Amino acid sequence: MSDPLTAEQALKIAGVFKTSALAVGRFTIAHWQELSPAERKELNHNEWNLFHASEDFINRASEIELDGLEKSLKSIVSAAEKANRAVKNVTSVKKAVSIAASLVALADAMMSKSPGATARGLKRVYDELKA
Amino acid sequence: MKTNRETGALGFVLSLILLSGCVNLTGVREFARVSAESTGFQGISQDFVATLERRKVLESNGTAPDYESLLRKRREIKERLDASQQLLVDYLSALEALAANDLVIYNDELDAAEKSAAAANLSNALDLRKYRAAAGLMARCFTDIYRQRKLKNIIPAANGAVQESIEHLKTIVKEDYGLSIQNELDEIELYFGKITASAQERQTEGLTMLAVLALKDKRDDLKQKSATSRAYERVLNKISEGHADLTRNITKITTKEMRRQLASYAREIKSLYQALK
Repeated sequence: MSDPLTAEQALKIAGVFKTSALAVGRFTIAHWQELSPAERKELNHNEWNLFHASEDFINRASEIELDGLEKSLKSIVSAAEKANRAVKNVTSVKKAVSIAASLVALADAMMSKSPGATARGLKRVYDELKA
Repeated sequence: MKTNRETGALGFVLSLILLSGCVNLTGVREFARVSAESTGFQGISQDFVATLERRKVLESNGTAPDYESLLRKRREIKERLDASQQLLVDYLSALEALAANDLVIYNDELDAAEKSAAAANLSNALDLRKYRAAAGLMARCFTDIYRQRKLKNIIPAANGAVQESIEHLKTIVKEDYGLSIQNELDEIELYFGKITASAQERQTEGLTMLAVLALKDKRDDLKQKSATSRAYERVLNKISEGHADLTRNITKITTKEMRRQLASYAREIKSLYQALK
């Protein structure tokens, strides 16, 4: 089930909890002398819990953002696969041998001075590279 | 006569080379290489977990089950973030490999081609040494055209997703990690504020001074971490800008001007990345 919040909303909530934690902490320091040890402990505990809530919503914001990131990356993975396939095509020894053989045929055609044979030879070289 | 035929054939080959334009993809290669290296920076994802670990010592309930669950979730986020960055690195590395000029060495294949030419008595028409050189150049040119065509298809098709991915990554770095570091700074300030209040209450001025000094160190450390995240964000901005520029000018990727522009992106990314390490 997808998160009902957006990443932006989750981050805003994280910010609100952080502000509250800060307010509790500042209050504790400002009234340090007036507070009993038990009250200080209680306020500290509340402050930590508010910071935890803030971090919890930061986690949610990141998870939602990561969902979007992973979705976008699917196209990039496919682009990387295409590029790697192209690299393999160029580096394949078998292919290079075919290219070399087609070049021999092309040279032969060029020297026969036949435009038709040269065009066919060129096409063969191009097809070898494209395949 | 033989000389005329040789000249004609070689001229034809050279014309083909000029027409097709043996391409220079060094701009794309360098931009992709530097971008791949910088995108893989894991300092932010590591510190995204470490910020919570550092704070455990400040909190008496740092070992509480809810804190452990918070940390576990953050570690999962780190794993996903690292994996996502790696996919971007893989894409950029694939572009680098495809744009590499030394992608393939044809020596063995040219030996084979030379032998075939000799066997077919082509030496009557063309000197085998010259044939080998011409065949080598042609092989290089056809391969270059193929590589260029592939890059022209792949880069614009991936650009939208690259831009989106970088935006998501930047948000996590700037907003999520940024807020978490700010939380750490606030927690530390409050922690030292309480130590100082307690020291004043007990009239232990020395302790107050120690707290002030320790706080200064922690503040400097966290400011450095924030600066690192801003630098990484700038790296990502440059990569996004460079990739978009490459897409806009995809038909000109081998021109001198575009090579210069891509080299400039690579230099800026490299310099920003150096500051991160």
